[in-house]
Amino acid sequence: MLLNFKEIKTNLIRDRYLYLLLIPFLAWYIIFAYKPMYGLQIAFKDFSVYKGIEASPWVGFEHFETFFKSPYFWRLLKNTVLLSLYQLLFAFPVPIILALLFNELKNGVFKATVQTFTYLPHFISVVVVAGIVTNFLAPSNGIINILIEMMGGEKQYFLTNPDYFRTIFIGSMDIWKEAGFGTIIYIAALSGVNPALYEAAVIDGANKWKQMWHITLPAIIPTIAIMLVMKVGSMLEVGYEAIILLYQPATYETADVINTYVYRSGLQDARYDLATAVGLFNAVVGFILVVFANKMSKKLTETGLW
Amino acid sequence: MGNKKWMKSSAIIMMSVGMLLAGCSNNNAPQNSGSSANDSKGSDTEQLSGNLISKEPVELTLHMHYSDKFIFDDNWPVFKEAEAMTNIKLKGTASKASTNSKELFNTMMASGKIPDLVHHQIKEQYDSLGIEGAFLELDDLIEKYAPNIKKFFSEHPDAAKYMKAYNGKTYFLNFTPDGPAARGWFVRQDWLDKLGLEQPKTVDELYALLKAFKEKDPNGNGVNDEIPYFSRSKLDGIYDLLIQWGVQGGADAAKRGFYADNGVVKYGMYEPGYKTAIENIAKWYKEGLIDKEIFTRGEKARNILLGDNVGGMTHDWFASTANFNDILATEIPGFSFVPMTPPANTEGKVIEESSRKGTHASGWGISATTKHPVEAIKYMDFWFSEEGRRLMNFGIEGKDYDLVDGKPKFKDSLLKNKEKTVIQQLQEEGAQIELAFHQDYAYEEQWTNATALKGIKEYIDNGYIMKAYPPISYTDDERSKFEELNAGVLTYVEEKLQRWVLGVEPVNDETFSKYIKELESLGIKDLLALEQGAYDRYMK
Amino acid sequence: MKKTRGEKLFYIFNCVFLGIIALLALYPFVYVLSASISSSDAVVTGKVILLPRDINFDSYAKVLSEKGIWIAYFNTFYYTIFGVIVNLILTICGAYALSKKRVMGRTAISFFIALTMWFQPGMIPMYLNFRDLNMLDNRFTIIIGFAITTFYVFLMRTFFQSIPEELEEAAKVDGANDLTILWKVYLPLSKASLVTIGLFYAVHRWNGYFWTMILLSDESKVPLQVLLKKLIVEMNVSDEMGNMAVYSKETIIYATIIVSIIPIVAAYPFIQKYFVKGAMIGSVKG
Repeated sequence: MLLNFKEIKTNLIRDRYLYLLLIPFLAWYIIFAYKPMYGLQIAFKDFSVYKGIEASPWVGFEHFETFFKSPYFWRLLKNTVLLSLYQLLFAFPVPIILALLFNELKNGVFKATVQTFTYLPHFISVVVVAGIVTNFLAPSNGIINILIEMMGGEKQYFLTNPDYFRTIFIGSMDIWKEAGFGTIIYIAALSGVNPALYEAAVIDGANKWKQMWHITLPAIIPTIAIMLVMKVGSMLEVGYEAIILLYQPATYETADVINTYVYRSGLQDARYDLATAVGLFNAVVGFILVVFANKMSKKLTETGLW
Repeated sequence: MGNKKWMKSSAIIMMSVGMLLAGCSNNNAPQNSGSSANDSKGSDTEQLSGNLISKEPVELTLHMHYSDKFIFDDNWPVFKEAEAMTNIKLKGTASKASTNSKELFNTMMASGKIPDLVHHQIKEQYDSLGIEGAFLELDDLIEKYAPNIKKFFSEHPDAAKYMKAYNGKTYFLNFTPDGPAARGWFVRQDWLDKLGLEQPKTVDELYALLKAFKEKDPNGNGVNDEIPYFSRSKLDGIYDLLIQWGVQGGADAAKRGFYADNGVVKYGMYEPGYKTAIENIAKWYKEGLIDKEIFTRGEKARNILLGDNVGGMTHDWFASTANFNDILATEIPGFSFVPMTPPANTEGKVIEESSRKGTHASGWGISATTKHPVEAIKYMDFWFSEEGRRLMNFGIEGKDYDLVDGKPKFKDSLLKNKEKTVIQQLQEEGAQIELAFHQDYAYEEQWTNATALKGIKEYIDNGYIMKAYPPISYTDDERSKFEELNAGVLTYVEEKLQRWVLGVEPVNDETFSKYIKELESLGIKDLLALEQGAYDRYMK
Repeated sequence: MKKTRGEKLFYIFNCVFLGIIALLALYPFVYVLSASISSSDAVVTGKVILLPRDINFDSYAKVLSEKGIWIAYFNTFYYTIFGVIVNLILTICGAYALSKKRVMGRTAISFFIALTMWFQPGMIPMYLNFRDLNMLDNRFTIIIGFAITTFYVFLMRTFFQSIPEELEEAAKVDGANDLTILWKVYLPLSKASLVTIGLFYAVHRWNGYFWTMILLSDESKVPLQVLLKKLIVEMNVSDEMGNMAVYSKETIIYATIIVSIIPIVAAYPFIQKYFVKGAMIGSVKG
């Protein structure tokens, strides 16, 4: 959609206020987000805090080589991707479903109370939640194991079993801790739906499920789409802090991800260059995924990030 | 008239000589001294008395922020006392708001505003920066102006060697701890007495003892809920046992696996003896002799297991562990958790591998852009003088301690304080701060629990404590290579270690040889070669 | 509007189900609350599971009497309130302009800002940037330096796009310009989304710790989280210095969590009313 100079001028004048609004906005990006980006070159340098970015010598792709050549690279990548995929499959829909269920509640006080309770874990630090999870899963007297025993099962040392790691991690950190807070976006989107539409639908004889399918869901599809594109883009960004609190060497097979390995090798110890390189790798892959996801999203839902 | 001429020319000659000598020091001449002859002499006993470093008060800026919470406080009494003695005042520049020492150091270096003195906890990084030119080479300065440090170096050649960077020059003077004992074995003596058992002298007796704890219900509650061996350090708890089968290298978490056998660097978990060790440990775990939850029990293991009267034996720091005798005295009548002689291992040796290092990675150095290099080195030297050392170890005379028979003895107000520990109180005054000084174990001895002291003494007097693996330094390249290889090796070692102990995977000839092969493909030989090279260089 | 039997059943199940979920989600908070008023001994030995033991308020006394805590509270409110205002203004500027298809370069700009979500320069370059701009140790830096979270720009843009174009057209017919339309039409209709994004920014600001710690060196400027972290770190006792300090920091940690959560939790009911269904209706004008 290329325009000639005349058309550009016309548009500028017609929409001048819109462009006016963009000025401070873009200025912020240039000053605070883009200007420091020259620092990304650290990924290709042997960086010294004393010498500074310019004076530090170039080493090309050396850091990336170190990273890729690691004997565990494929396992780490696999675990990172799998963890993200599982999160997508199991944790991502939860806030949506919860939001839809919350939407059905009529009693204001009950609704507000129940919602508030679900938001609370978001504010509790990861360390505390991990501590609670560890206690619950303790082999001898953790609540979960006691329940299992009562039901005739055998007690297990869950946290040392790689088969359980993803379930424990996603169940506690992504669902228990975060799903509640995650509903807020969808609830906000839902509140934009015109009640008149529902009334009209009821008159037309539509039951609850038809209403949900034809009115509610379409209203939050754009929001879901954006959230989904974002999640796909952060496929490699599995944070290490929470994992470190819950994993064990015996569970490295499924639990060890890129960031935890890097952390463990002390490679992050003032090794900004290596850390930047790993971050850059994550960013490039993530962004490529986002480009794809965005294309798909626009095709299917007509909304996307750009 | 002839006299005047002589005086004039000799004055000129003296001044020129003085200025020449002053010009030999690394940087700009100090600004406040009237005659530069002041600084060209060695110990200034002619010009200035006692510990005085400069005629006029000099202020030096200092960046000190370590362990995320120790920030130099201009009001510290100890440093005010030092100021009175030396005429050198320190001004702290580190942000009091920060709780991340590492990031703060890095942003300070990146900002280019480096104060006169800089303290850090990571010697390797400091050395690298020194080699790049950020910090002064101290060797000449020490030679010329720091007699106390010179004396310390000649009396402690290991420490002197440690403080050098890999290029042989010194940029960083380190805190030197004192007191060789770190961790030891502890056992419920009251349980031993109840069951009529002696402290174990061999590994087999140790096994029998743990079994007895498990089966004979020493806590007398009718349930076999005893946890014979436990640890609050997760994997360390397992590593600590390896020495019983002669496998070395497990004691130091920072340098796991490495030890030197007659000058040859080896890796404990790559040695054939490791198989026997793990087989036994796995057996003990299966039989419930080791805390089933040892991997997740965590920090509070002693509090929980001793408090619940189920923990039988552990391997941990003397002083803090012995304290539980005081804590649980009323709750559990007869409670007696005492240091135990290490059982003779399968090679017949009675040894304790953990030791408190004689060197420490914390310390300080001088910025290359300082205008007061001589004052700075003299100030650093002060803390190695007799008064300086006592000041940093014991605090202020009359306030924190009294001199009894020439030896500092802490006041009761310090020792009997219920709210704060002795070391907390000292640190609040600016004593026992990790700058370069020689710690004095005598300070710790005075507040260490008697039970612990007895154990420590036994371990030291009988020579159980092994000499630690030397704190070798790497070149930048070596360090990256080491981290890279070690990451892969250690990941595999620990994964297998845990799975074998848990019994998830069996330990036998077949699986063990597979393990060895895998270690080799992960580069264990290259790692050992690298380490050997750095070790040889260090030991030269 | 008669409900079928199925719908009635569903409603009951829904209430029960959500009730259980809410109770499960409540547990960590209850645990933290109980632990904060229990004796540290009880907490450390694992005796506190749901209800507090040996109730005492010592940890609160310690936290609330910490030097500078009220200043820190004030700072947090300052950064949160002014921060969110600036956040919203800039975010709205971008989101509104980008929601209009007629803006040239819209796609390019969206792409340009989306890039920043993945490509971030890292701590040292950002720090140096602030230093070069002379913005170190300055309250204003905290407000303006972190004014935009790109993701929220996209969210808000989506919300703006969900408002029917007819409203804009109608206003245009009445002679309003884009700014007036934004102010008189879009903003009133976007209450829910403004509150949501505002809430997200507020939570961000409230919990903001890392950059405030790095950029501020004056203790009187730091927010609550930094002060509380200092408090916790100070209680860290090193292994080697075997001493009697029992883990008194445990209960302090929990007390600090409660102290920082309470204001947010207390504020929520006031926000809740904006999430009522059909907040848009009844505001269609001209």
